[in-house]
Amino acid sequence: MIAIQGVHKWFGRLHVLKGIDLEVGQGEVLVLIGASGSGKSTLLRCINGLERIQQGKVAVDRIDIHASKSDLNRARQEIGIVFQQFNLFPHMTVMKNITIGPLKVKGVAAQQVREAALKLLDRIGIPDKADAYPDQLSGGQQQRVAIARALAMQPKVMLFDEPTSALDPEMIKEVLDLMRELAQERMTMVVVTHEMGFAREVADRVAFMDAGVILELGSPAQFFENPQHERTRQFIQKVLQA
Amino acid sequence: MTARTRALRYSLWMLFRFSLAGVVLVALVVLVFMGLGSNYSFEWDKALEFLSWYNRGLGVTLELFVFSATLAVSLGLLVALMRLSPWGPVRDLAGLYVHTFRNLPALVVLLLFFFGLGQIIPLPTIRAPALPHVEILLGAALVAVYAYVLRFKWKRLSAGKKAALLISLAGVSYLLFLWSPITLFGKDYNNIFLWGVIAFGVYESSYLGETFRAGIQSVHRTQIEAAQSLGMNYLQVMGYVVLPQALRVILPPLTSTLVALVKETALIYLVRGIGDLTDQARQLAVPTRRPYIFEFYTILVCYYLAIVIPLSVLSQWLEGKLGISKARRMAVHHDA
Amino acid sequence: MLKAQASLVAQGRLLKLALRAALVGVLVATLIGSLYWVLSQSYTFRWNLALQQLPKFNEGLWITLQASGIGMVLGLALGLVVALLRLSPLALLRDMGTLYVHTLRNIPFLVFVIFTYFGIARAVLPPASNVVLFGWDIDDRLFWGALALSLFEASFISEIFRAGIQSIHKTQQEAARSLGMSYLQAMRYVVLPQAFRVILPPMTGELIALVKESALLLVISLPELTLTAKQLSSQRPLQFEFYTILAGYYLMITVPLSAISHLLEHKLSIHKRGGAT
Repeated sequence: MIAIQGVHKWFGRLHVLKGIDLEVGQGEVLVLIGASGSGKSTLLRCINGLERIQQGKVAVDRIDIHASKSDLNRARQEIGIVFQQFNLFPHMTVMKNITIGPLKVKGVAAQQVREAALKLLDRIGIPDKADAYPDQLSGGQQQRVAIARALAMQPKVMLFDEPTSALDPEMIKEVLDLMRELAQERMTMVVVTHEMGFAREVADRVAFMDAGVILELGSPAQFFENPQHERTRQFIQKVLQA
Repeated sequence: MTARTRALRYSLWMLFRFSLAGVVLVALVVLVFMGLGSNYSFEWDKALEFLSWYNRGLGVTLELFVFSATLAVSLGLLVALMRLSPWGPVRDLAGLYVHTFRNLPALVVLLLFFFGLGQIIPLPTIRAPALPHVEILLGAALVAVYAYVLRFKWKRLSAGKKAALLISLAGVSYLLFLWSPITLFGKDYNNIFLWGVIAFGVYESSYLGETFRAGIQSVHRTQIEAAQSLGMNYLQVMGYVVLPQALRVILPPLTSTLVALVKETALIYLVRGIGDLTDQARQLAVPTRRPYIFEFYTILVCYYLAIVIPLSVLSQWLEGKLGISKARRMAVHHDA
Repeated sequence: MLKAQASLVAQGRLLKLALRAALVGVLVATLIGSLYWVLSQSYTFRWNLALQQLPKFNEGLWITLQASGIGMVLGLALGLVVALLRLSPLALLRDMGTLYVHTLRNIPFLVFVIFTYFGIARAVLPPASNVVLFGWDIDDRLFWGALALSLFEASFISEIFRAGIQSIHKTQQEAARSLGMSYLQAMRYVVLPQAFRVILPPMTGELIALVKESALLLVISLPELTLTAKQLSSQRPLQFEFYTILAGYYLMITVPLSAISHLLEHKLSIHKRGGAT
């Protein structure tokens, strides 16, 4: 589903991605972990074209992301992304936030869109907030709306960029539960997160990034019980101690 | 005491206070005049006979404003988009444009355009086509705008209130345009007027360009990313996400610039008289024929106050509405 | 190793900037050049004749600077007084200040100048062509022009003062008064010094606007820059040249002032907490 080959990226003089090769199969859940500055968020943003790459190729569902603009817009309809800061549209109601994508980008009929949106709201657990504005919701509710907004496009892939990092501890669980459900429904997901518990339980594979390269890649069991690299060991120890 | 009576009493009290302050100020000024040895005789009744002259001038001023404002807004948008373009030279060109015109006095720009370019490139007199009963059309437009603004509250109004609202709206707009000094259509616009419009339009477009640009840039980059991630193209991102949020930031300086434009139209008197408000007052205030000069100019001042103050109040009210209803919603972005 | 790389990159950036400036320069030159060529088809430009009049322009410049200078000084003083009026605890003083500000802000400066000079100076007051002030003989047009300028600008300047002073939290005033300072002392030692930083950027902007407004004094026949240009153009048919030179003179004054104000804003905003406006 996602094929990343020989990707290099520079921010000015800074070499942030130094030759990434990665494949994510359909229905697979890949969790990216690493210290800040390791390039994991950048890599994620390269997948849906929010960051440009200087070398290499990124293809999602066999569409080359960085080839042409029209391809990119088409591809983005198949890729959903959830940001750390939610990025909901503050001047639109929750309903409008969720429906604007399918309505204006995919051109689906209004009635259908509304019904689907109501179902999604029901599923994420806040059916009564359809006409509320984002600033009237809690952080956890906003993030769930953000997930619903992405899901409304019926994407083939869902990307998550530290979805719980900006949330209060009580609200992290509700968002992770939703993500867990999605994984069980065999959605292809790439998740950048610090939540090790989630990685251990939900991921099919875990990748550890350090200084722009993928240092280790393996199943959660392999990863957490038997890390190969010293850096990985150090990182896991630090994170699990916190 | 209900809220209504309280509001009424408050406004009456305010009226009293300001009248008192006004009287004190005027008294002070008159004392100064007398102290300086004035023996001027005021003849207000004679001056007030000439109000029709002022009304005609008001019409010309407002027409000048409407056309200049339209040009200024359109050019301003263009300039703003140029300033935001990814191409360096385009940005710099627009930047030069903005910085040149913002650092010149409006009068100099007017003179440059009119005497500098105007003599080289004479503009033809344009005849605006006549529109029948333009007042009714404009009144209908006003009603439509108000109805759009009220569309959410409309459903909650009772039938009686709805009827009352409709009738009063229609009546007000009809009266407004029946008595309006503006004609806009079916008249000739000559060379002087047109160059005035171009000069004011270009001058204000440099300010508006910056206003629009700042407004668009005030929308956080992450909003654009979120919209793009949904697969929206450039126009969709602009239209659905960026512009609605930018508008709130743009509106206050936009309205204040437009109010300033109304005042600036007075400058055209210095180029050639085309019968705007200031010109009419100057034509009246000839000391040898009508020695009540002070009265004429005071009436002129009052006319400008009568136009500009309601506009300022209106713009403040608009800001208030937008501020309260949207400010809460805009503050959703957290800083991690 | 790192230093060498850094300097190389800095050179690279400088080169890029120089290239961009050159490109824009070429673009502007081409635009102006072609415009000039088009215009010269129907108009003969005679810059040499126009430039001979520079001494006259300089005389006008001097008057403009005088009027603006007096206007600035008086305007600042009056503005401060009006601001204090508007902040005074006495309602009557506050209202008078508000009336003053709202009346002057809502009329065009041109109208105010005409009102002041033709309405008051020439009509209500006994006529005098020279004003004798402290033993100096001042031309009454300069006097009334500068006075009108300062009265008008005082309304805007007072708003800047007022907003700046009010932006200093009331607790500062309270703390100062609790030490036993009088209202004026608290203002002078505690509030105004802090307000100064907030006030400076918009104030410089207003002063630039003042210089630009001085152009309107031509209506009372004050021989400042703009009137000079107008008079010269009526004597000789070189309007385009004269008005371009006029524009150049104004840019010569306002652009440096603008640059200084930008610099000040930048320097002051570094010290502000968090979100700059």
